Amino acid sequence: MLELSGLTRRFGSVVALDNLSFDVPAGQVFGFLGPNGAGKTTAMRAILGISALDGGEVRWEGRRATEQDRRHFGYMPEERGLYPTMIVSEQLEYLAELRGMARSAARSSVQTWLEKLGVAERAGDKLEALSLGNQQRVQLAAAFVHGPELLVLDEPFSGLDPVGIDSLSAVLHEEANNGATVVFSSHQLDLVEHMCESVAIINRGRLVATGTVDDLTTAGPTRLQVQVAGDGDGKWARALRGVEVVENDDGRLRLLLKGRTKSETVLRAAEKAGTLRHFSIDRRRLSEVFREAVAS
Amino acid sequence: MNPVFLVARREVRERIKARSFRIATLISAAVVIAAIAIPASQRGHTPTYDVAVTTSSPAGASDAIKALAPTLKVHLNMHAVPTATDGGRGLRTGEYDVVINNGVILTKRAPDSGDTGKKAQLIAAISNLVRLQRLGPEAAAALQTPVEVRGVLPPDANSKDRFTAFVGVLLLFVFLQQYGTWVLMGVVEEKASRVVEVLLSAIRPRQLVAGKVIGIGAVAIVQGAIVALSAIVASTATGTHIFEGTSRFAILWILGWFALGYSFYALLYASVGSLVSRQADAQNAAFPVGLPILVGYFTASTLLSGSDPSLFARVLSYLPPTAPMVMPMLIGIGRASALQAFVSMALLIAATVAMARVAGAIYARAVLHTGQRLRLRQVLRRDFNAA
Repeated sequence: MLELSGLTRRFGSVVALDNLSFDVPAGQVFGFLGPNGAGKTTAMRAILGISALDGGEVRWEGRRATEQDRRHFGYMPEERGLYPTMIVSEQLEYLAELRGMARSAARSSVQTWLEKLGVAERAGDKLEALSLGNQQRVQLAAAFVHGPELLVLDEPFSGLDPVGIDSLSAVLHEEANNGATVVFSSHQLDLVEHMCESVAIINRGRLVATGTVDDLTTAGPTRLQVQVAGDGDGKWARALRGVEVVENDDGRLRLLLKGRTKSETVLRAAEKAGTLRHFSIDRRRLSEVFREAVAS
Repeated sequence: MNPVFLVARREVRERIKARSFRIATLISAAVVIAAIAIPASQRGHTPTYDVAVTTSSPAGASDAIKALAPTLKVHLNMHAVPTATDGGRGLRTGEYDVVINNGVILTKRAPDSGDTGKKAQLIAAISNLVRLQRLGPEAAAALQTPVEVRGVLPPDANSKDRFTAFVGVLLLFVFLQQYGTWVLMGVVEEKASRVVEVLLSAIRPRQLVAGKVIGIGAVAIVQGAIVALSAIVASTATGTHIFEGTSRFAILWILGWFALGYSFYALLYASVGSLVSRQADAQNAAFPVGLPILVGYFTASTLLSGSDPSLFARVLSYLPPTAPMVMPMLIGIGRASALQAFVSMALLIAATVAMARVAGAIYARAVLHTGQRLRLRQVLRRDFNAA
């Protein structure tokens, strides 16, 4: 398990991290969310030990993360970068060796990862000769090549096409199934909702929400999705006390129940209003959770 | 494997692989070989003169003149002619170069006073013989007895040591400029390409800087060795003994200053490199670092004349940024004691250790910062958005 415990970091008068604490359960794909400038990159750098902290500590497997632990972490920075003029395979071998892999093991792992990411035929080329998409794959290989126990990926999906997104999602889940812990940041909240078991949301360097996606999206008052045939405006619902119409998608209403209002009351009212086409318990979207958390 | 070693190994491999490195090394080697071989081929030519002595000249004159040949580094073919008239004819036809007739030297055209050519030297040497002969044996012997000249101070180092020191200082000057810039550009390249963030997630900043400085230093040694080897091969092949008379101690001593000077400046260049984000800014940032190297070099070259060093030069010989150039030169001209040299070297070692700490800290703080060039004050206060 990865634990961020009271991380604090100031840059001059700017507080980048303000007593930030949350846990990342082992073996999960974990989403790390926050608006631009919230401190995600600083926090990720702190996990990797690149960024100095003014306070707090990063804990791994129950104790303060050591340099040795961090050699078994993998990192893809938001600002991608490798040596442009270095041969792809030599570059990846070098990075694997820097993380303590033996030469022969590094070589075979590089081969495996380049094949897995579909750039094996470019192994002998200079990085700068590759297309941007392929360079991004090499960058991913650089994070994975030493078989890390913890993967920290800053915006790994940005710049990928839908096929690339799918294949990266598959790779991340495979890594998690093999026991790795994966933390990634993203602004694509639907993707995060779909991919992650748990998330943490930060704003202005502070934690504003964390938990499983299930808990976060179902927390709070009851929500319903109801559709009554013929009533495109949802007039019946607006007439009800203790019910707020959050959204009306062409007659399909998303309702928020306030106070002690019960689902059964709404169901009866809907049936009275006309033919019931749809009635279900609704949950918030992660994007809604995010907006609320960040606004508060 | 040790990360510092891995970083250094990468530097060596990538740089030696580069075509520009190979071309530069070949050109340097070619220049050195040419510099040795061309003068040697000129020197290899020993002129030959035909000298005729009239039969009426004193006995032994011919042998005495012949004996001048080794000192003057010429071949002399001696001839005997019956009269000066015969000699004169021989001069006109080019059969003879010089004719001696009873204390008179005949030649096709008398050399003017400023002529330092071989033929003029030969004529001057023969004139001296004639003069000695005029004085008679006793006076000649007296004239040939050397007069002792005593200095009240110990003698200056020999000119060979002075030469070695100067060549050493010149090489150090070129070396610091060249490889210091490599360190600077290497740091800027890693920063500009952003690979540094990936590297720093695996190893510590100090390890990265140390590996880079050591790796580039190793490349410098390889390049230097190739050039030195070319010089040795060329001088052996041409029979020029360029290292003759140079003490091994002088060479070791210079190498020590090399290593320290390089370490000091390489670390300084690395920290300066970490402050800039673009290759274009690198040259401007490097300028102030290059200044003390330049001042040190020029001060050292003024000392070559062997005159008493100025107070300015004395002071610079102790200041770590200029000491690697000025102090070896002072030693080369014999104007610094061993104690002074060791004090200066100790100061440089201390400054290099301090530089390693400061440069490491600056580098670690600044290298992840992108965008506008950082001011040193910001870095020291950690008042910017980066690591």
